[in-house]
Amino acid sequence: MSIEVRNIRKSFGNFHALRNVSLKVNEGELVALLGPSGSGKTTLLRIIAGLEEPDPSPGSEVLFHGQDVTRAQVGQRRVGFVFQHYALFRNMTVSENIAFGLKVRPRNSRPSKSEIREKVRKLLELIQLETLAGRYPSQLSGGQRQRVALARALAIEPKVLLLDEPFGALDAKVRLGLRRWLRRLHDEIHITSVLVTHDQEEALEVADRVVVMNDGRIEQIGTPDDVFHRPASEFVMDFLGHVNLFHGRVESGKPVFEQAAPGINGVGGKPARLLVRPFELEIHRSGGLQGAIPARVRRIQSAGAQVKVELESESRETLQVELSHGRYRELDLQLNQEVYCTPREARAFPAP
Amino acid sequence: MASKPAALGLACKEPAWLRLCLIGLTIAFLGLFLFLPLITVFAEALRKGIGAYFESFNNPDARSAIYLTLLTAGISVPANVVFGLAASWAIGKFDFKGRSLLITLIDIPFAVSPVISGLIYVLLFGLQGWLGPWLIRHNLQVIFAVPGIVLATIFVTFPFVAREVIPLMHEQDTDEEQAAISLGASGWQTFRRVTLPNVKWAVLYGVILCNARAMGEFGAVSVVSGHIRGQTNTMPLHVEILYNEYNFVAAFAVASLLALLALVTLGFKTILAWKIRQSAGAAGEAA
Repeated sequence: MSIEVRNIRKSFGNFHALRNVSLKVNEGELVALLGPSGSGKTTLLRIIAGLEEPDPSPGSEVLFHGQDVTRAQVGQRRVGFVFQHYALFRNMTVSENIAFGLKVRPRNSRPSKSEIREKVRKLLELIQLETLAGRYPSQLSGGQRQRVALARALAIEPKVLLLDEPFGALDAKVRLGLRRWLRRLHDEIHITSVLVTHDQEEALEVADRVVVMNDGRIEQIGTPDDVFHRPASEFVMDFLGHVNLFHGRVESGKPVFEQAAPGINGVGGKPARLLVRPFELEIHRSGGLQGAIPARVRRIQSAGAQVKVELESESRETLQVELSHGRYRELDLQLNQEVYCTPREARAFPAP
Repeated sequence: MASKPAALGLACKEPAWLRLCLIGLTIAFLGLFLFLPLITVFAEALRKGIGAYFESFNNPDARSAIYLTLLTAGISVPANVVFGLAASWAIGKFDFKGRSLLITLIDIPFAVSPVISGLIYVLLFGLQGWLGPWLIRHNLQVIFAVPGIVLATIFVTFPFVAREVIPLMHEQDTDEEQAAISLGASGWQTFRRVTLPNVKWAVLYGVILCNARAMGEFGAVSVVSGHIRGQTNTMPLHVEILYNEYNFVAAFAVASLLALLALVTLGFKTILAWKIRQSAGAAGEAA
């Protein structure tokens, strides 16, 4: 089932959590809402769920499969909501937690006891926790609790699945495993899902499309490739990973770096901020290349998939560079060594 | 971690004579002000033998006092459980204007002398009170009758349940309730299946304290009761009357029932406090 929100605004006192947001999530899609805290992503999710009401304004709507549910109560929307801190019922066992949504149904639509038992068994199998059915939430690890929360949400056969920072409270390793599991699960059951996260890696890895939010607005909507390689704004580029900032200008469509040619101020072209990712910077031992920026090696960190080198430019700015171990051995870099670096690629954004 | 308790123990180590002095002082104090009076109550009650002790309860006035006390507690405790749960549900789970004012209002009975609480009802419902003439016209008696005693007791004991439950409900936040609602539960189902089980020990704790106070209340009840023997005397009032009549055995016999109630209350209180700590610990891990 598709989800669409139109012209949604929400403020809490003087704080504008959402400033006129519109978004469409297609049927069967997994969309990640990505942004820093306070960007409005959780508020948007809660408005979709019906846990929060949008500010009344003309044309402001929440549509499920084209139907207006703006005023529908959360219980009527049939959404599976997974809370950040799990919100498992502490006085119920794992099975009872999962069965809750079925047991509270009105008598005429409530499945029979054996049907509920069967459903719970299937969901326990899905989350691979069959052996822990009788445990209480306090006896489970964080990752197990999160899976129970997911099973509980899926038990009511929701039309959409909404996840609020589902892996936020878990440690790195469990988080990685669980999000891959979630992606596989989504590929199996194809339920329209919206996931809120502040972790760009998580969003890029799990989602079909990423919605980057900032300050109550949507900065960009696109596939992970789109937002990473073709960021629509400086904010998006900055939020999706480390960047090095250079000042310069755009001349006939090409970025020109100020540091590389200090004399060219005021020659022409538009002043611009040039953003370069650490792996898009190349290090050379000798100068002479056109557009090369002289710098000094300040720090080398070679434990990892890539070698991270910190350079200091002549204007005392720090540059982060990532290069392969092969290239690093080739260069034979030493601390305080003088080197030159050239950007392979740069994205120019207008200077403010 | 292993070295921590040892280090702490060393840091807190006082000389043996000081420790003995402090412990001795505490025991002496407790003995003088708590154990001795408690023993006296039972000793006095049993002074003329076990037969005289039980004979004291065979008196119709004593029975009526016991009955009235049970009746009063039987009405005011459930009333205050309902009130306490409603108040804590509102205060603990919702944010609204005047919330802190409401918390302060709930504490009034703790701040006001019970005698004044009783007087308020006399002023309201008494013969010369605001509602007095209306009540007389409709042949309703509140003051110097059972309704007045129940009202005064409810007033004095209404903070007990609310005060125990509000902090716990507030601490547990509304996450589980939101989850229940999102799964399609109604407000009542959410309350009964999620909120209430999470605070049940605190509610029981409040009930125990509320009950002890309801049965033991003297000041407020004394003002509104009128001390009519066999009709409006509760146990504490009956004890006073018997004592003033130099009927010591009977007075202490009734008093011994109240003392037993206190001991049972203490026992329950300890068990419940332990239960609450346990479930709070489990909750802390689950968060």
